[in-house]
Amino acid sequence: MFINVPFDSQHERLFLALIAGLVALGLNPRCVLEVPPSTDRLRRLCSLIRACPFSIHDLSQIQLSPGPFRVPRFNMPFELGLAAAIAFEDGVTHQWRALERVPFRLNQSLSDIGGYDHSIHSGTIEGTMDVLLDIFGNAKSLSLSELDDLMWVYRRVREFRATLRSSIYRANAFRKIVATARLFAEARGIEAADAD
Amino acid sequence: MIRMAKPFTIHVNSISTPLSIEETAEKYGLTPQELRRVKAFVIKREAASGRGTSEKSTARQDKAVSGRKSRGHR
Repeated sequence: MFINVPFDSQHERLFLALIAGLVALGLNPRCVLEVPPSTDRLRRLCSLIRACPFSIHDLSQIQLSPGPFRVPRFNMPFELGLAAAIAFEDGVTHQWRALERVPFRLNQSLSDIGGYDHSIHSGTIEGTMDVLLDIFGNAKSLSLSELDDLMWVYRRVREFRATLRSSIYRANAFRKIVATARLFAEARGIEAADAD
Repeated sequence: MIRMAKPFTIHVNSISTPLSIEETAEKYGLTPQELRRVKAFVIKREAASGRGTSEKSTARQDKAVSGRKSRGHR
């Protein structure tokens, strides 16, 4: 599962929620953070997206960036464009879904995908988890499948994040967070099994 | 009214058995030291659960994170 989100301190909790939620559901989140910077970065990014059967693209941060150049943020829609192109390739099974915070805004900001469903997370953790359950809820082999389970894993992952000194938008932080989420998801699964 | 998105058409082969922690470590390239640290945190946290944690305050902080200005660089 490729996840495409704004690397933004204000968006950090939603990024953690996506990782925790996906891992709790038994999926493997992948991210551009895993692609080392190099001249071949774009090709490797395409390979990573192509290797993932699904991708999620959060297009909720559409404001102009701060700083000397007040520019829109093109990385998220660009990566969505790559995923959409890959989904059209012969012999490739790739599905993508756009996320937004505000209903109907995507119809204006990116009308080219107007014919495709997108999901609204409302900028909240629970909204993000609900979106994941809406999208993947019909899979039969989910590890955990209740909102409470996903939130349980998320809260513990957040506690782990507090132990990291640097930004979470780094390759080493990303892989540690995924591993932590996996261990907590296992623990939650064991706890649920014991309760039955 | 928020329109619910249709679920993905999940292909059975796409959703495989969840990876074990060792498989996860290998797939994501965790070093043995990183894996030990992560395991230690989880064991310590689970041992402490039930003795009162900061979960309530964490939940409060998570009620809404929307409407904030972007400061990002992507």
